[in-house]
Amino acid sequence: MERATLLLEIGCEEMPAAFMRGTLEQLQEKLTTTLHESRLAHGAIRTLGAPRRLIALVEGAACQQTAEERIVRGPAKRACFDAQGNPTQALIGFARSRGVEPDAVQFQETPQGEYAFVREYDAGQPAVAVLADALPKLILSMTFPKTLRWGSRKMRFGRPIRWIVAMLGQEVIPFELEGIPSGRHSRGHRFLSPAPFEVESPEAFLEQLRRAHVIADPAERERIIIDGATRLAHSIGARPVLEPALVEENVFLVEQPHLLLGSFPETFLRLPAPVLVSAMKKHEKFFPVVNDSGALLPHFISVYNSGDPDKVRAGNEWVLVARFNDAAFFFEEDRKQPLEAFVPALGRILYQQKLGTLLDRAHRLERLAEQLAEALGWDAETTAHLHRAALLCKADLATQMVMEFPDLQGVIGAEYARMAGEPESIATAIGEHYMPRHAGDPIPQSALGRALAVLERIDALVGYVGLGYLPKGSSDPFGLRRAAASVVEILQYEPDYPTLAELAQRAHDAYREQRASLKPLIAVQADLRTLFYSRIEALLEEAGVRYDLIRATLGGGWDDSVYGFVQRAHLLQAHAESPDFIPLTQTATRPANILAAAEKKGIKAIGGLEHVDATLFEHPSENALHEALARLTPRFEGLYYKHDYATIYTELLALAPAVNALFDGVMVMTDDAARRQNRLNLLACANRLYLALADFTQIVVE
Amino acid sequence: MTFQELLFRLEQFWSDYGCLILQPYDVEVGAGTMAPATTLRALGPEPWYVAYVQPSRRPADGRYARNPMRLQHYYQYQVILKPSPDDVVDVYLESLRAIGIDPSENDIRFVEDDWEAPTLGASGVGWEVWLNGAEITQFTYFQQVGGIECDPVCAEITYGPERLALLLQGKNSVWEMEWSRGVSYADVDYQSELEHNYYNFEHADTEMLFKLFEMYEAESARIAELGYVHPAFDLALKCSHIFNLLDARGSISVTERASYIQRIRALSRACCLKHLEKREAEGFPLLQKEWRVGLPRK
Repeated sequence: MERATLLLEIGCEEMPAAFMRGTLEQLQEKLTTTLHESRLAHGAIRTLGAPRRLIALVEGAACQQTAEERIVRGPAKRACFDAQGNPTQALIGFARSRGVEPDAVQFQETPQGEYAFVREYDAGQPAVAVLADALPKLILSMTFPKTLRWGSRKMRFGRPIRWIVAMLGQEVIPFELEGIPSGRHSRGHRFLSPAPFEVESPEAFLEQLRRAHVIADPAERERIIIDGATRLAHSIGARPVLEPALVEENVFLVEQPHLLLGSFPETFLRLPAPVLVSAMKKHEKFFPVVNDSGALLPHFISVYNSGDPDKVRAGNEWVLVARFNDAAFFFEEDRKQPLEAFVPALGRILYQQKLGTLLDRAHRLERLAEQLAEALGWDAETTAHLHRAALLCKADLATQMVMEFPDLQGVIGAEYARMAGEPESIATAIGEHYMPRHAGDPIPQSALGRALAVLERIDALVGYVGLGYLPKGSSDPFGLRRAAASVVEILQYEPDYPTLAELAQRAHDAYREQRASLKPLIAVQADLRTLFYSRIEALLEEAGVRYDLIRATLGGGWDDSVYGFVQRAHLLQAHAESPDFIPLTQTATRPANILAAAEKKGIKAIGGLEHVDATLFEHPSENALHEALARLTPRFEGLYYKHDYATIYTELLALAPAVNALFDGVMVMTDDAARRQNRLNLLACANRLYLALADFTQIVVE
Repeated sequence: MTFQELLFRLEQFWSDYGCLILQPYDVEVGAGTMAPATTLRALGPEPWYVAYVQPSRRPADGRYARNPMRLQHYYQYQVILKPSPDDVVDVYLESLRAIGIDPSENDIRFVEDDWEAPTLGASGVGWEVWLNGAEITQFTYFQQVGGIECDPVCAEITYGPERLALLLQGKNSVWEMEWSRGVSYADVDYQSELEHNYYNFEHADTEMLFKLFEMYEAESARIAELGYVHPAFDLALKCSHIFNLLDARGSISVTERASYIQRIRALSRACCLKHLEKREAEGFPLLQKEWRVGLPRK
């Protein structure tokens, strides 16, 4: 069968860099589906792109659809002939609709009876005709984070489409999108090769683009940028700071990367380094340059698309100096007063309509900080430091610097706290309290930073969830999943912290104190549980804990301490392969199962040893279990809250014979109602001990 | 190139293209977008090609003339092309040549920057245009105005003339920039900038402003109801400016802020709806005009 290379180029105005990677992946997927659905065989599919173009190249695409034999089912045989055995309208109509004579219709047995069938052979259409229909649909079906309409057209795309190249080998695949025809003419670099050119062949296209100053392959542009930046920095004995996200952005901001080394006056190095870095990276997409010890040098590396290098450098330096001057102005203004003096201004910045201002938030954090320090048994000085860090941690949001460089929140707060002579531990906590900012970001190093980070998130979570905002699907506008994940990531290492429910209660109280109207605590805790548990689940899954053990862990426990969950899950995972684990699980599920079965019948056990009446015992196994539980119950209280789950595990192994003996010795669900209730109450006490570790009924026993 | 020469060249370029050259609108606005020649005319099917200088006021952006780039009063050069022509980017680049910027010698970049004006219920998609890293233009395809879909879509090109003049003159502060030969921007605007800063931040009578807001708001709603779109819209713009003044004075609490924005949006939306209705009743007269636009042949 004849094969050729397929080329699709969607030429557009400059597509946002952030869209490109996902769009190219999408193009690859959609094209794969389109070719499959169009019955077109093909080899490797490659997608490439630059700001003005999305390109797909398919090697060895069939020039003809794959032939297909189809069996088309018609009416049931009994409907096909009348009493005289003549063809009915049903048969005649079916035959006509398939383009055959009635006597060419065959009959075949099926599970539903005998039916009419026609065999059809479809030799397939030429690929060009099929694609002329399929490609415009593919283009219109593409999605973007944001779309627009332009001119008088109705269609939507990421940016206006200005030309389309669609070719199979030498042949143009002809179609039109609201007046934009496909063809064989492409365009090169907007400034270095502005004239349209004719594509010689799909195979030659990428080379033609290269001659027209477009490097279509993002991987190649990335190499040029990384190598070029490294070389330029080496030339002055330094190295570039190549943050991957910034490299990626630059890759998709140019069609052909050029690089230059620029400089700025050394006097600006007096500004806090994060300010300089942010001005370079966020505003200008420049790479900072550092020396061997990581200190910022008065240089930068800029990636540009075209132009006279001296003019571009002069312009880059001019704009960077303007930015730095701006920052210097804000810095000088801000430092006229200490960080604390910005706190009252927080009263003018809304946190959330119903959750008050940032000042309200700072006051809530102060209160929570005090309670937490007390719960953790911190000394007076540490408590005072946490309290002060809580008051100050949002103050930088009122500074001119953070208004100008929002991504420096926290960093600037720490910097200004130091300048104001605050103790270092307070400055550090302020600087760390937004950590971990994203998955993979480290947690704060200081205990104060961790405390503040947890409280900051709990306050946000309780507030938003209390207003009924919960993440839905991929939509999480307030970053609540991330906030919950951060809490879990920090608390997994904190044995002494209050439980999630307690933290939520205090945060809820703090809102109530300010007369914020949130949903009732119980409802907030229930919603938060879902949110937190799914984060704990993700954390444990990532740590390699078996899924049923995670479910069992989260189904058990006497409280919702994150540390406890994580410890118990790892304990189960460590024991899961040992020979005594399955017998333990089997024993543990016996009380749980019988209690559940009884409850289904409307008989509810009452927990607590005080509800067990020893005078009703009939069999020694009851006495034996009762004695064991009387000994273990108070002991478990101590072990559990000390997180000594290993000993609990050992004790539960030792308890097994007593539990099994009861089931072997007596009939729990006897007709004697008083005895039955008494035995269920006894088993509820046993069940509670198992639940201290896990809900064993969730464990899969092969 | 002096500041005024720059403006002349832009005027000449867009005039040659076929745009109407309007004069600045005479009500205080925060941006060229808010002048009725943009807000109202961006709506509906009628073609509209227009360019104008628009003095713009943003009281909260004042820095007592101490910041080299930030002012509470500055200028915008505003161009509206409806429907957006297919070669609109090329036309824009041609306009840069007209002011002495050769795109092939410089690094010109289109960097994603979408735009939203909550008080107008307006939003668009586009870029900021960079010249060697400095933002010189905001380029937007309008999608909505007054909460109404724009159909067809217009392209809005907003140049920052101060920024451009600074770059062309190689100056570092707007105050040193030459307005005309021998006369600087400071000679023209410094005193008024400073006085307005003192007024905006320290002396504006907020009680009076609150009253004026209420009065203008009521009047705008009443006049819009009578069908007089333009006076009603002027009154809505007055409200917007007063809101900005109160904001600069720190007199609007954060909880009230959103509701003030909402109130102004309601006024401008009413004007937009009424405007569209009236143009439709007139049969969209500009559809009959033959606009001859395009780059003149060289």
